[in-house]
Amino acid sequence: MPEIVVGVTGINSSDNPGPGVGVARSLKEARDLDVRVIGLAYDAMETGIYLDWVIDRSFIIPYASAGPGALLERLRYIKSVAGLDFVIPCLDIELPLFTRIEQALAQEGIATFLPTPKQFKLRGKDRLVEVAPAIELSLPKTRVVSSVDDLNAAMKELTFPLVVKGTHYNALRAYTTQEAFDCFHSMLAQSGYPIILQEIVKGEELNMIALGDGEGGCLGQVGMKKISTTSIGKIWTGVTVRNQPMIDAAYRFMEVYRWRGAFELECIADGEKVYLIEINPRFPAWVYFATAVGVNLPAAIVRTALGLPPVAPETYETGRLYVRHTEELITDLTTFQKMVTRGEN
Amino acid sequence: MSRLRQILVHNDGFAFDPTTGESFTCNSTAAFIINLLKSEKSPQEVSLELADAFDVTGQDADHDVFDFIYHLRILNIIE
Repeated sequence: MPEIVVGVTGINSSDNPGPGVGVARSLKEARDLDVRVIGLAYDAMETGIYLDWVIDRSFIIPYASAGPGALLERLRYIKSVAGLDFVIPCLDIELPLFTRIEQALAQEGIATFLPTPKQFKLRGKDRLVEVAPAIELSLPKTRVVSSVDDLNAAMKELTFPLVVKGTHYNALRAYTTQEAFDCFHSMLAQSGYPIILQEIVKGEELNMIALGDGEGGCLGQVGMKKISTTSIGKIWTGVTVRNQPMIDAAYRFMEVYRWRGAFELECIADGEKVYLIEINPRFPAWVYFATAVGVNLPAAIVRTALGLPPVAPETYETGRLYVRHTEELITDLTTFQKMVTRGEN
Repeated sequence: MSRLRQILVHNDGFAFDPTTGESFTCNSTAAFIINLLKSEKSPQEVSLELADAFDVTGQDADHDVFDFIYHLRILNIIE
C-alpha cells in the first residue's frame, strides 16, 4: 500500500477542541492505510502541531477571510513540498471555501469528499424546520425570526424557557421576555439574521456520527450519549448507544439528501420521541470515539474518495465508555519557532 | 415493557439502557425483579418467586414488587 498524504484542519485540541486531532489519530490507526498526516493550522499555537506522533508535518494556512485564491495557492505549495493527496476540512466555517475550490484542487491531484453547497445549506439551523419532518424526527417548537416584530410574535407563541440561536455557533438560554430580547440582540451582533427561537425539551442528549457516500448509502455510523459536558456543552464523558429512531433518521438523511461526507446529528430522546437539535456537516470532535470502538470513518472517507477497495461498514458495541482528559506536553521552542517564522515545520 | 426488555442488568447490580445510555444501580432484590419481569413473568408470578427466593411473606413480596414497579414507571422504564 503506497503512502497517502492527508491534510487535516481543525487541529486545535483545546477546551473547545476541533475534530482534527481525532481525525489524524484515526488515520494513523487505520489498519489498511499508510497515512502521513499534514496538519493545516491557522495559528502557531494550535496544539496538534506539537503532537508529532499523530501529525507528521504542519503548515499555516490563510484564514477564510483571505478568500479561496489564497487557500488554493497555499495548498498548491504544500502539495509541492510535502505531497498532498486528500484534504479533510474539519471546521464548519471553512467548508464553503473548500467547496468553491474543490474542482481546482482535483485538477492539482488533491481529492476532497465534501457535501455540495446545496447540502451544506440544509444543515443550517434555520432549515431544520424542513429537514426534521423529512427524516421523521421531531423538532422542538421553533420560530425563525428576522425582525423585532417577528420576535414579539414568536414569544407569544412559544413557552419559556427558550434557546436563542444564531445561524452559526453559540446558543443562549432565555427564561423571560427581557432575557429573550437581550439574547436576540447578542446573537444578532454575532451572526446577523435569521435568529432561531426554540422551546427547550427534556430528555437524553444523544449524538450520532455518520458518513454518507453521496449516493444515498451509509459508510458507517456510531451513536453515543453525552454523560457529562464542559461548561460550554462539549463532551467530557460519553457512552455508545444504539437508538433505533435516531439511526433510522440518519439513514433517511443520507438517503433523502444523498449526503456526501461526514456529519453529526445532535438529538434529544424523550422515550420514543427523538428531537432533532442540530446537524453538523463534518466530523465531530469526538470522532476518535467511533474509531476506538471499531468504526474508523476518517479511514473510510479516504478509501472512498481515492477509489480504494471499499470495506464493509463495521458495527460496534453499546456500553463503551469515552473519557476525555487533559495532558501536558513539554517540548523545546523549535517547532513553534519554525511555525512562526516559516509557517511550516 | 419494551424499554425494560432492552435494559442489561449485570450481576453487581449495574443496569444499562443501550438505547439511551442511561445507567442505574439496583440492589439484588431489584435485579431479581427486573430479570423476572424481562422474562415476561406477571407481577403476581414475580411476587411468588421473590417470596420463595428471599424467604419473605407473600404480603411483603407483593408490597416490594408493586412498589418497585411503581418506581420503574416513574423512570419510564415500564409502561
